[in-house]
Amino acid sequence: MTYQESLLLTGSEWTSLSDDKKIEVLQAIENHMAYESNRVSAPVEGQFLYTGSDGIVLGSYDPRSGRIYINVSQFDPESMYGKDSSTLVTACLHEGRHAYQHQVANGIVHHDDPNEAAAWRENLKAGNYISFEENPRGYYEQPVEVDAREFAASRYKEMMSERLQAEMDRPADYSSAKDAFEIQTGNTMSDGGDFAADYHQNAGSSAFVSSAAIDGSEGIHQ
Amino acid sequence: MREQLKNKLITDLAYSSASASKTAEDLCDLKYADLRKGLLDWLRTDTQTVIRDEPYSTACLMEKYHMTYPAALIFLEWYREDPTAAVSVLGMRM
Repeated sequence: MTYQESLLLTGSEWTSLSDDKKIEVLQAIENHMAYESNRVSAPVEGQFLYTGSDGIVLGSYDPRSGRIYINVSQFDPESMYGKDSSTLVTACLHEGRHAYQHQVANGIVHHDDPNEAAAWRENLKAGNYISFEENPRGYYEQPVEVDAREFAASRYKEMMSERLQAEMDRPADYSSAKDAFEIQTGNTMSDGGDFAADYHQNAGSSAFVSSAAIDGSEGIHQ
Repeated sequence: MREQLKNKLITDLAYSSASASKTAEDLCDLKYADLRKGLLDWLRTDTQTVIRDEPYSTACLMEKYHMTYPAALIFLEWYREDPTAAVSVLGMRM
């Protein structure tokens, strides 16, 4: 699955995907993030993580195995964070950033800001990471958590712009084309067989999609 | 007091040295009188006085979220100062 395809599947189709497909989508996103930051990609696995009425662990990164775990209980569309992909995609970005921080701290990957790299190295030394149970505020404010949160929030925002662009670039399906013809020509498909033939020839053409979009034919948009 | 707190966190609650240092620092910075009194009681006599700030209390934070008593004191201070951030961490962690 390409990154572009995974972006499209994080939209309205997310809730209808199987658990395996959701993992495949998250893996494609993780692979792309790894590629962007020149790091080794982490395998993404679904796992039942703590899920209670008092709180949910959405994801975790295990530096020993180098794996990202995502809470599969939240794949259910009826679950707290299952109604759309936003929270789980953000969790995947967050855990992937921890993979990056570990690779920076271990000298595998270069990070442009040496002070930040030093702070992560110090924070990730044995005994230096503060757990939520020991000090919840200290946990939230430690360098690797602040950075992972900020990265995930800003990269998720960019992803939403990329998804919008991918949706606009996606070749329209036949029913959308039919709507567009009817809006533009005032004809039904049975009157306008020639137009339909033209559409088939140009179905993959972004020029067709763009011109229809410029004309304000809302039916062409996904 | 900071050193005393740090040692108690290490010996009684198995904190690492770094985590104990940061937590002792946060405990010394507690501003609210009820939380400071709870801290002093715990430090001197090991008493875990229940402090409430609805819907939370030190007891429920320890029971439901497995926080240590000093961690629960820090959480309540944080909840009073920045409830949005504090509650978000309780609701979802990653």
